[in-house]
Amino acid sequence: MQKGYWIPVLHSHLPFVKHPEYDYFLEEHWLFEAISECYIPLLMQMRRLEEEGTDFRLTVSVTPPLAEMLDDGNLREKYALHLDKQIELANKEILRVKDDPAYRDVAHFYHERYHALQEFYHGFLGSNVLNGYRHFARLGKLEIITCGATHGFLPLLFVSTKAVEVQIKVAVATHKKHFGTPPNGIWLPECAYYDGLDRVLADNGIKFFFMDSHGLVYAKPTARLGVFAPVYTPEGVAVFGRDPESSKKVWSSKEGYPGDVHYRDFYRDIGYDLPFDDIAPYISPDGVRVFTGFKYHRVSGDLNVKEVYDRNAALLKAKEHAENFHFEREKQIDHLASYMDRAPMIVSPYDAELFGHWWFEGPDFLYHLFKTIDEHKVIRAITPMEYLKLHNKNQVVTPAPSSWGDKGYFDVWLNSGNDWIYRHLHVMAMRMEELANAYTKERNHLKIRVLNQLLRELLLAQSSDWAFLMTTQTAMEYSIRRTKEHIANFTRLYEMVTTDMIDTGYLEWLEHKNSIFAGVDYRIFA
Amino acid sequence: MNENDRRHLLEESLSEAGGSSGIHSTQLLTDEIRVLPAGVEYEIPNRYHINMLVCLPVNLETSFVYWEVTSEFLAHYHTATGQLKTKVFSLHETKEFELEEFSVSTELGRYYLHIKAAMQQIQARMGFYDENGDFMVILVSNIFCTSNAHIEFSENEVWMNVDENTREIIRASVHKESENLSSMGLYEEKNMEFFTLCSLSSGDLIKRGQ
Repeated sequence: MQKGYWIPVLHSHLPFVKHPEYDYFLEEHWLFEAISECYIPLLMQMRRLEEEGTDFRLTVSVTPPLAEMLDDGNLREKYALHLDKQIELANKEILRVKDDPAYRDVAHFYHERYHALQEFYHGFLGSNVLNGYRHFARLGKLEIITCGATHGFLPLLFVSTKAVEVQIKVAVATHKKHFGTPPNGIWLPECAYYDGLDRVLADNGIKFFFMDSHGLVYAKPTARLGVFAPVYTPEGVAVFGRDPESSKKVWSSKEGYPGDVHYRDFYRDIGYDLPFDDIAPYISPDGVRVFTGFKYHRVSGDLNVKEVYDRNAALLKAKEHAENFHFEREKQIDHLASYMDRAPMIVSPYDAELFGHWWFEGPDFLYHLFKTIDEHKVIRAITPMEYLKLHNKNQVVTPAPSSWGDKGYFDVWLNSGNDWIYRHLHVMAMRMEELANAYTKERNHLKIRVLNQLLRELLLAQSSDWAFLMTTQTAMEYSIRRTKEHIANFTRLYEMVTTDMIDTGYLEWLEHKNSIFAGVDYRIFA
Repeated sequence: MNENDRRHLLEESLSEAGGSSGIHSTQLLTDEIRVLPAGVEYEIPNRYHINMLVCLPVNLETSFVYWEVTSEFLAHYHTATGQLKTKVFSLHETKEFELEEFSVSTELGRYYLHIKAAMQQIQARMGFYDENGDFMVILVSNIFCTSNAHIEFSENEVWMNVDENTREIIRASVHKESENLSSMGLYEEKNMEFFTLCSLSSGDLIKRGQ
């Protein structure tokens, strides 16, 4: 007997990083790692479920910058070369550890794995990861939702209403371009909400979004069913709240499943462990050691005395954890049902990149979880739109401004370490709006190209990732440089428009390098 | 559903909440330390030569204000930075309350302030005291709504059915109401002031080709 609903949500996002000026650029490998360790393994598990006739439902955000990168010809070529190189390294690893039985099994596992990834990428996916998402969306198994155009932190951009509107409009247009239909839902960047944002969402056809739990519990009035049923904003947009209990099981590095000693260790990697000369061709050409994805150890002991990874044992543990997750959710639903007059709904959102990248066995866990759900049929995995069709009468509340970041509000994206960004972003948005209005009827093709590139530079500068990384002090230098790059580019392009002195070579270079949203029209800002 | 049931559901909703995801994938993917290849050093503007006051939310108790004013702008009002103050207000439909005042000693600056005002509309205004002791406003900020950390039940809960056909009707109805009555209407009206001021000043820049 079906007792309740489960809405799993994976937020897939990376900032737009493209450096065609380099054959190898470390930050592009954020994308390549995510493709090999997360996006393809997840799609492979979905394919496995499909082939086995197992029903499943998953809501996945594919953010506009990620979709643009996955579709970019230059990055796809580089990724194909990256896969070749990984296979070359896998071949070498088999030889290197051939005399050590424990390590040999792991080396063979990687060898098979990279061959399987390559075959799936060039075969089923047709050398474009987006094809996988499109396939499962067509089958009705996957609800693909969008995000801000460049993951802009909307509560800090809203001083220009236009800036927020354009983040949403460009996101919707990009989603249509890549997936053929407008999105029903949105993953708000960092789940960050401000009072009045629902109006922009409603105006752009968005029917639902997600918030962290305190955004609903502290709503006005309080959402009386907590996060176990959706609510509507006054604009009629549905809001689904994150369930803290199921979130913790995956997020928490201490209490969560990924910390189990059977799982692969994230940190030990031959990129750091092997003698420099052996690993040099597979790390950054400037000699900086990086993660290669070849990790031979499991989560155990301290960093230097870890035990060897046992793939079969890890897979058994993933199955066991999937069954435990199912058992816990069933118990949670039974418990909640006694307080509710409808079947409880549990929303479990995670960053997609945790599955496979951080938690290597995460995609296997999801596979087994869907198998268990299908077998027991007491919990129904469902998408938000399916849920709303079943239960379209919900409470109306004004959600409380909040985010899912540290401390629950906006501190991570606005503090003394990154507050210098915002005056530039706000002036740029203001200038963009003025130019869009002033040049609405512009016919000069060259000037139109400059205006379009201005908009791209503004959107790229607005990415919340830069402010986030400045706070966490990871890739800080790159984040500062990227922010300054887009501000400087915008400023120079702005001068070119206002003085009518256009540097064509400079424009062409920016169009090639910062090529996100190829068809964007600056008039969207008017 | 009784009061105890409601309380219980909310406790369940909030357990372990307070935010954070704990692990952030962007952080993990970028967890490598390196020196960037030498490249262009990007020069960004120090000043935009505009007059602008902006107020942003940080968390439940903290807000951030930044500003830029020009000497010409101050001269026009016969004032100078040492005489400037910024006041922060909470706005209500028929009245407003001053929450804090701080001195402005530079043409370009920023200030973090601590205010406790749940779900209220906040606005900053820069100005100076004239010879009569009246506060003369020369610049107003945008408005934002603070957050809330209180559970508040309503005796008059609203529940609605939303389907494809009614969505547009509801939205249109709410818009009409908000334009006339609600804080959203106030918010938009006040924000218009902010943008009029800002766009005038930076519009001049375009004309001058700066």
